[in-house]
Amino acid sequence: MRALLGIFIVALLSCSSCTDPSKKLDEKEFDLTGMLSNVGDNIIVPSYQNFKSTVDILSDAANTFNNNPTMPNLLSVRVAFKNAYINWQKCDVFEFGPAMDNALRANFNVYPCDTSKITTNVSSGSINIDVLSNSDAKGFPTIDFLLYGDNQSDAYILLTFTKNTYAANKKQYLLALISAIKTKTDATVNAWGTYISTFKTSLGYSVGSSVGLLVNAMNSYDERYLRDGKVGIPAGIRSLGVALPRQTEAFYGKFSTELLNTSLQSFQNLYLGKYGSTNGLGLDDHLVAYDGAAIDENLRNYLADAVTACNTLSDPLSQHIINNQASVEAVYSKLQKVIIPLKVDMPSKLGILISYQDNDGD
Amino acid sequence: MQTLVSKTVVKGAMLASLSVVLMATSCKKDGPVDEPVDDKTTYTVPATYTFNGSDGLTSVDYAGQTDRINQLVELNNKLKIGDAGQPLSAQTLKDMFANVGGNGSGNFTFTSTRQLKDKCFSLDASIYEAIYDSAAVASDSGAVLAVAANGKAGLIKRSTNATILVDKNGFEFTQKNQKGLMGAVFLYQIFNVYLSDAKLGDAVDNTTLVAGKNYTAMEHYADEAFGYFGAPIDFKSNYTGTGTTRYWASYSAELDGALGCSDKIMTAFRTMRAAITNKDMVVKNQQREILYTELEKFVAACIIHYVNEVSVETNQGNILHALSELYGFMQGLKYNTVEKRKISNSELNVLFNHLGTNLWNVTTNGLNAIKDDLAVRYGLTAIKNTL
Repeated sequence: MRALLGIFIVALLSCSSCTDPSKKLDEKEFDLTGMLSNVGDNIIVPSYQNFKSTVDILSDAANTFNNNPTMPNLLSVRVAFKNAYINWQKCDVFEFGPAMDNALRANFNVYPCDTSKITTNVSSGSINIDVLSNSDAKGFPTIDFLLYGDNQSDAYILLTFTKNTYAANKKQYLLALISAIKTKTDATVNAWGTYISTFKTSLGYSVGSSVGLLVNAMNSYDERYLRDGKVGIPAGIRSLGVALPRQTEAFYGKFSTELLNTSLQSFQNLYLGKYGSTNGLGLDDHLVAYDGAAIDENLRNYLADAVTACNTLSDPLSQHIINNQASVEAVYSKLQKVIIPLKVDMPSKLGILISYQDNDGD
Repeated sequence: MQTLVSKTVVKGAMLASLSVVLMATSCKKDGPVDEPVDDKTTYTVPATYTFNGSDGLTSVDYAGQTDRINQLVELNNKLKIGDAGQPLSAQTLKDMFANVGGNGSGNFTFTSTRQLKDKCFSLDASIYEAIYDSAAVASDSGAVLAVAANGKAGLIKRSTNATILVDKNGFEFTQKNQKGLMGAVFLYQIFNVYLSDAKLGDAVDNTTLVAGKNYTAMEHYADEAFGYFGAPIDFKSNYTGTGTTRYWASYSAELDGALGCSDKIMTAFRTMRAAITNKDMVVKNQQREILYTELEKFVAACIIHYVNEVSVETNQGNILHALSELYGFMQGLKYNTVEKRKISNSELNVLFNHLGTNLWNVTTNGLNAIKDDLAVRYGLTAIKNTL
């Protein structure tokens, strides 16, 4: 017997049930392409474009202030800063594709910022903005601290940019942070110019499909950054009831609640596929088409309840927490109700795997 | 020449992971034309990693690998007490690494004749002992609750509020140790020892039973390679079984949704073992090649996965944690054989330079450069953002 020649791995599997598990869902009718087009063309891309124009205005204001650091110019930087920060709330949730490539969230919105690191960076006069370890010394939260200070007068803040020791460094730092935001924003907007077609054509429900990316991004955003970051952590939910008011977003500028409301409302609109006054195809319609009307009803109601609850909060949120912690905890519990239908019921109805995880256990 | 036999489809009870029937057809060259001879041997690749000897009892044996996996668990747990600000003893950790006295100088909960150190890629064993030394020193500062900073070892909080102990360059000791040894011992042994010609080449004894055992030497080597993968015998894609996935298999389960690696790797291990048991050297060798390719690709995918994880991370402690894992997985790419690997040492060094030697100074651009290189090199471009 001299050779073992013919070997044939017999193959495999002619069984139809081994194919994509989403197959069975195809029997139901839903215009997935239409939903992705609506979400991509009418929500995501315009949100980034609006954000970009507010960043451009901020960048211009910062340059003007840098050349001519006067009180009116400081105040216009603040106005432009707040507007850009509010518009960022409408984009933050889309942390996949181009936003992930540019690590937008880690670059733009890590709070609370590390004020001692910022002070060191300012006094040293040199900072490598790109390094990840400076994520709590850059982006909007750091600009917030630089522009408003910790309960200091406007006149004093202006002096820190003009007369005080390291004033020149601080001016330079502010400009560099805003310029870094502009660079990454422009890169992301440009990338969406081509990524939009990928987004609209990555159909199906598997890991890596556009719906899979979107639903995962929505869940991780809602759970960790909206519910916990904006409300739960400052309200003491993660610290045995001890309130941490200084951990609110925009703590120094004192417009945390405005950011929260913008974030939650745009999150609700995203779910509904709504832009302006038009209600286009969204995940709500998808659920209804896939026999998930009850889940949709829960989600719509819970989101609406959460929006109503958040509207009862006032700025500064840090003060609201100190005065009435229980009312903020109540808002948290409204946000909490959204999690189950969003993270469990909807993904399971649509056949989407929630693949993000904290990985804290290892 | 190749003779094909008719296709056979076997439908097992489990549709998703069917058994596969293989046929080895022998041909005898007794004339100008090769004539197929009818002494086909047909064998089945079982749906789970279950093989019996001629005595009807299981012939699968990788107790040594299980011991070493257990040792790594307990060694790493010992190292973890530093994360809580407790002092560490370098000697204790070294004794566990070398399994002094058969029970790591009394620190293991079990006794064994095996050890991690003597199976570690020899040039790298000192790396791990150095980790234990610096962890012990850092744990002294951890013990006084020093907060880690760039250039300063100490504790740093994660998003869970739990702390981790990191060195002055931000490396988390437990991750550097655990992910590192997953490469330096487990992968190194699979690639360079068990899949090698010395253990699974055609000349290795596959006839004589090992003294006192019901398996051949070659069968045993295949089992040992499988043992280091850390998978339950019924592991597969979308695994829902009761056995615990450990180390590499647990990451395979994690990445499976995007990569589809679990079935590929498990099928190769099962098919290789079945081929050996049925003296089918051709299929055995094909499966070795698949394992070389797929395991290395899987390691590259793990690295990309951690780049992605860091890219969307905002907590400083979580960032250092994930970067330390990333670093450990990058080490894993060193351990495929020189002939088989898709990345040379110098190419890998370029990637390490993108990461840098200080995790506090890592940049998104550096991470994306690592990701893009690996995505192209391992054909993962289409899924690089979803891993």
